[in-house]
Amino acid sequence: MLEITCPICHAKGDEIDFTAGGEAYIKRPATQDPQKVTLHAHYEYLYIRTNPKGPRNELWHCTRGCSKWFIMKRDTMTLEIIETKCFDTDLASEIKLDNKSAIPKQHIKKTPTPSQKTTPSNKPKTKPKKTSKKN
Amino acid sequence: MSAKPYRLHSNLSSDLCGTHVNRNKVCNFTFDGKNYTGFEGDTLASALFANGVRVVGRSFKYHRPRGVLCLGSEEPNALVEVGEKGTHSPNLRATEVNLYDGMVARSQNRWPSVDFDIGHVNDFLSPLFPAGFYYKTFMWPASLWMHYEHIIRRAAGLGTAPTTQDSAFYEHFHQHCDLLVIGGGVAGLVSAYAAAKSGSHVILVDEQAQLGGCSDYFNAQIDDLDHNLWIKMIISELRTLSNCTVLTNTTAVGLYMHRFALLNQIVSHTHQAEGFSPKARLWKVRAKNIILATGALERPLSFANNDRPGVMLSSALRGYLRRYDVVAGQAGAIFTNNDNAYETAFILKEAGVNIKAVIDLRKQIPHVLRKRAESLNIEVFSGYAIVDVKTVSMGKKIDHISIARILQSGRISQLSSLNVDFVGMSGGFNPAVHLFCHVGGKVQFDKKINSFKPKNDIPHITSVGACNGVFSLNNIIKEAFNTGENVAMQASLYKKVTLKKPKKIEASTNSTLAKQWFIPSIRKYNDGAKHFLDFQNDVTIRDIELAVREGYESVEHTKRYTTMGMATDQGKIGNINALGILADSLDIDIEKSLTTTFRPPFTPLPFGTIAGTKAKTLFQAIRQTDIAHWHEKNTIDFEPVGQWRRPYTYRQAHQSRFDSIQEEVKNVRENVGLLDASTLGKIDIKGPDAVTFLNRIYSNSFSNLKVGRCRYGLMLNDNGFIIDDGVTAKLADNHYIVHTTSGGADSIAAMMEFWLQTEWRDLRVFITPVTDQYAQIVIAGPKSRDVLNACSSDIRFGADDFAYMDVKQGHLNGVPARVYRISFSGELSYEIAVPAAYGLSLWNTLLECGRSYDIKPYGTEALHILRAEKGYIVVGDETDGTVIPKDVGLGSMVSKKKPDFIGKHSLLLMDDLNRDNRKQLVGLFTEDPNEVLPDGVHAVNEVKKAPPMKMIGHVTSSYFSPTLKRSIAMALIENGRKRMGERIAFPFDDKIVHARIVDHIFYDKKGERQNV
Repeated sequence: MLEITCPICHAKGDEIDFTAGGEAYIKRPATQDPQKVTLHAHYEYLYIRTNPKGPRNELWHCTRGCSKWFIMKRDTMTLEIIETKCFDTDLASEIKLDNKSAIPKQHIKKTPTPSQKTTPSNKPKTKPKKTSKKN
Repeated sequence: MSAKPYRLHSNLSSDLCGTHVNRNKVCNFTFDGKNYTGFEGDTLASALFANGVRVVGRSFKYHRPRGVLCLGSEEPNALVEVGEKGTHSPNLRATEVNLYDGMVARSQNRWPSVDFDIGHVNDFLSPLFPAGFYYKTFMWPASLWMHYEHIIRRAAGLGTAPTTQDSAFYEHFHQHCDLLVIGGGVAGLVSAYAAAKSGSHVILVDEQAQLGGCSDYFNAQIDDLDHNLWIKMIISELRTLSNCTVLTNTTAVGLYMHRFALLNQIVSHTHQAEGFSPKARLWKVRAKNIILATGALERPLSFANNDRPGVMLSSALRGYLRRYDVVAGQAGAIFTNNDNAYETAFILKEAGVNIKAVIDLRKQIPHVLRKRAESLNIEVFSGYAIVDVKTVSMGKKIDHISIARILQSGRISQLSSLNVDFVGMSGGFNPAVHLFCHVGGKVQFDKKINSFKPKNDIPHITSVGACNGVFSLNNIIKEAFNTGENVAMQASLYKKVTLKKPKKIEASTNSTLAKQWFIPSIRKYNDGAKHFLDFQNDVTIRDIELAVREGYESVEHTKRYTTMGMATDQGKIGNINALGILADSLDIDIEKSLTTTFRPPFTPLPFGTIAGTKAKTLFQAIRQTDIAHWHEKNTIDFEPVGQWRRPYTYRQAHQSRFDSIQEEVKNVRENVGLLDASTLGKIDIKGPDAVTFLNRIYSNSFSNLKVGRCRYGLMLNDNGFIIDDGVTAKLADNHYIVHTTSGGADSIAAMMEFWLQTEWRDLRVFITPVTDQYAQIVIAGPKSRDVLNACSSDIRFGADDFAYMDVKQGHLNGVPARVYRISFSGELSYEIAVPAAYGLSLWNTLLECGRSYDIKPYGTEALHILRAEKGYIVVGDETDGTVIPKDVGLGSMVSKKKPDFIGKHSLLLMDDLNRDNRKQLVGLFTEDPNEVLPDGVHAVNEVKKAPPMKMIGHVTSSYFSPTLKRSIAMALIENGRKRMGERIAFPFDDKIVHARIVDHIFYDKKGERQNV
């Protein structure tokens, strides 16, 4: 049973509280340029995964916590979680990404809460515009 | 005095003996129907010994009579059922079952009785039952397997499953701690003590009822006092510490990744429910550090007939005497390759038990041992071995043993016999590395102990004491103190304290042991003289050798071919001996051989414990709409839809299901019907980019949808296959409500989040699942408008004011309501959504207003017939994850203009999705209008006498339509739309049903009825 800490809301739990979403950083050709999608690129996007014996970047969902998807670097051999991070670097710099140490209270306040999410006026502040995934 | 023949009289034994039993409290119990008595504190095994019961079970394959071999959870033979037949617990180890007054227990794997077992004939026929016997015999012909299997299942196998529902309950505990210590022997106790004293939050578990491990059956001195006094001091100190949880009768059954442990705590010892106390409790512990102090298991010696009742592990003999004051027989001998077994001889002899001899494989024996044996009048045969065990009464009682000198050449000489009725054997000790291996820990061979010990290569998991290959008391205590303190230093609440460490430890030391896996026999090898390795699975040396001869050289292959180390035993008793024999047979060094994989659980875990409270009504939560209680009063017929229970049809017990459904459909077509559609998935979508998002999620376009209008949408995955459908309404600019299927609501909302958070992070859209926030009621039928007009409302329902596919917001009976004019039945129909708590009041209002219009509720089956008559698809019926829009006649729902949507590029690029002969949705009319095809039956091109026949498609939905007064079906048929009018066949076992392919829209093809 993996012990996972969400990098966004810092909820701690095991696999039951989170959902695995497969390999991260799979590029969807249609998102990049819908006019230039080749069969080969589309096929690779749908079906080809690296499946390494060792560290791999994965998508995980904080299902019973903040409902955010984040990236986890995990060793498929030892099952060690090497690193977890959120998609946004801006968000990442606000909250300290350290599983081991307790998170200082002032950092927790800065993370988006569900009440902020539902208010559209708040949104541009917490979500940077037009940032693509950090690879 | 009522002293039992095998229970020592308390006056004769010393204070150290019988420590576990309370002689003032007698427990009556039955075993295989016979009445016996024991004492409080006894295990079932010790109580049986006290009553002179030797045979407690039959072996797995040969049905040989078997007695108790061990003292603890490693017992392979004495598997028993406890409890009244039907509610009993099977496969319990008698050595772990604590006796209680009124216990009912039975032996297993015997027929008709444990004393006389017909299966015993297998023992004499054993040349016919070699390893891999089942594989070889039953390979051919395959058709007879069903026949063989029946016989094998009866002949082989462990206990029987209980037949009635378990009346007890179980629970789960979740716990975090700084340190989990597994094993309450000296090593575990000292580690826990050192860490807990230093401030760590510690959990200490032990599978036995009392702490101390095996310390009560060896002799040692700590600071000039009996070591047990010092251990008692440690235990009582631990019990006073609030930061240390001590769990006894609790087995660590499995160790998993990231220091997660499963502990099975037995709470009720009567194997019954006891008031509000659970029978067992499963602890799920996440520890920052784990110390394994699981000790070691004694190895048997592989001599001829070493499985006879009365042959036991040497340490077990000692344990039974010290704990329960019982002995296995009247006169005994000890067979050993090491020093430790001498302790057994001395302790037993000093307690007045007749120990005739110690037979030692070694030629060199430490002088002290020899001298002490002489003084106690125990004969020592060094360089000797037991070469056979002779029994009387069909193998149930030892008559005498044959011993002989083992020469350098491997030959034997100077044969003599000893009249004994029990034997204690010791082949050394194996560190119990099972839990360490559960998490992928590696082991290494240690020549000194002739066994495998952990490599300690897993962070935060440390083995201490005997399970780490450390056997001297002095070193164990030193190591445990160090490890405990080191772990505590890592914890956040560390405080430095001075621990009471012992200054002087005196205990016996161990000299070198003899390394001999195979003990020769006087009889022709293996001819009636089986050398058992794995007692539970009846694996002998001969089986391993046969496996090697037949090419199974890898340990893992040999394990599977011979069944060694399987079942509940998991290699506790026989594994190292078997590896030794395997290495011998392959003529390789055992150091180079690998061990088999030890898997959880360490001891069997009952299903009830795994289920915990998630059983019976708590197995799964049932979601209820506001109208659920009304449904329960008005029908007995429900069907599960996701976590919901929806009325299948409204009827009472005396009504026929068929008539009730047909009546409901007719009433919707002729008058008006009411459906609780609150279970329908509802997702609220808001934001400046909402329409862009919908355009990417759905295959059809939402760009030109106006406020106040609804549109049917089709959702695909990126492989191009249909995954959901439903109506989306535009409530305001940048505000939509999306309806999904009842079962798909949660997964669709999650999928939308996935795309927004991972792929389209620039879109400003918010998704809120609101399924539970609204009660939604469908009112359908030609008179539905009249009913709504009869209600008090500020919404005008007339055809000119409220067009088909409009959505209006207003009030109904003073309650805020959203009304959608959409139709899944093909009739004039409205769907009314109100805040969830008003669901029942709206339902009652509509029933009241509709009374003069013959309004009636209808269930899910009528809903399905109504939609099937109209040819509407249901995702999951007409689609199965491989169906694209074109297949079900919805090709026009795929936008050609939109540059991108989920699924678009697969539909464009993938050859398979563009081939001509794909299966297409068609309607079917059976030739006999009363013949209703079952769902899922396959159509064939050409009917032959026997399979194979080429299948061309299958029925997706099939009903008797009251509107058409005949059977109708929808089917996915290869190239179906080009085969209109063709006759296809469905072969059954006893008949062939023919059907004609027709259009899948059976009723009101132009859609005039819903558009009035």
